[in-house]
Amino acid sequence: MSRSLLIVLLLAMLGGCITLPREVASELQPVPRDRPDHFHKP
Amino acid sequence: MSIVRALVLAFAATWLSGCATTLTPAAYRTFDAESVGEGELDFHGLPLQSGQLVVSDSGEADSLLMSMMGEQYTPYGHAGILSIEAGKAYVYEGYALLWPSLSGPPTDAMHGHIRRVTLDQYIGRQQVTAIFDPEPGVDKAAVVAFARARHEDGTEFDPYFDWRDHTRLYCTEFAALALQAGGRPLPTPVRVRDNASLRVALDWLKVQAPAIVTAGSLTEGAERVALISKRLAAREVDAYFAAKRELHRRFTDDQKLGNIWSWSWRGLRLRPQIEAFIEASSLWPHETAAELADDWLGAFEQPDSRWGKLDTGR
Repeated sequence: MSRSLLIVLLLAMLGGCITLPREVASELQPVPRDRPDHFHKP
Repeated sequence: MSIVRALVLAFAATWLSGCATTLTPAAYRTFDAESVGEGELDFHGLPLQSGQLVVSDSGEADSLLMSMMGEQYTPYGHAGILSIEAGKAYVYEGYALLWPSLSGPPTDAMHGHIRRVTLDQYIGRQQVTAIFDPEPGVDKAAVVAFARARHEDGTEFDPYFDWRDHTRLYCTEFAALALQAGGRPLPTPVRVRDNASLRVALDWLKVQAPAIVTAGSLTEGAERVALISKRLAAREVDAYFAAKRELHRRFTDDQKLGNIWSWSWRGLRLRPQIEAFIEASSLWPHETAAELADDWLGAFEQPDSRWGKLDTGR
């Protein structure tokens, strides 16, 4: 296995550590279906 | 695009760039010439000319986000300029890779420039690719000359999608300016929709531009000369775009991003229900997208469950 491949794999592992800020992560949570702002038909 | 996916793609692209990719039209469900005109190059039966516009949709979650960002729907999320050189077809495009970063939003870690790839490579990473002949009167030689010049001067990719600053260019901005060099008026940028949830994400990404140039606005008045898709038949392409349009219509300003996308270690993902709706829609006539959305999206018992099963209500 070449050194470059190892570097790419290492960088990929580090990349998996990315975390979203709390406010962005919150927006990526779904809305419970019984709330009026659930994905609806306009 | 997640860091992991970007790196995997970067590795794959580097690896593949040393290989001669061979495109096999027979392996594609759609590989249609839609013009009787003669081209500068016969690309597996497609009549191609330098200076034509190439637009595409990758089918990925971030591509759908690009389609949903503007107030007007756009089926395509990416654009480039076609160039025939030494009997081979290339595409000039604005492209960036995401590099590892321990702080800041992904946009701070995106680096790229105007690059040139073969049309084979371009098509290979897209779900749907369409090639358009610019409206009559556009000087295609000037279009492609602009594209080559921006490649040669190493113009950087603009990860913040700021149309007001042309020192760095994002993909559709680059294509719009290339077409302008050929005499096509610049398109009116599409306002970024006033969705509070989207705004939170865009603020984090430092995307402050009030409007963006969409690939859809570049195809207005242009003639589609080729349609290519490995997975979808031409009719299914229409239905797929209709499904995306229906999602755009439903993603009103009060909607949360989380109703369509989720985040995992693999980056931005479509929610399984959305993915299933899009998949199902491609099997039906495009006129039925709204009805299908009622059936499929209205039937989630557990919208927050990755494993929730769809109840079609039938």
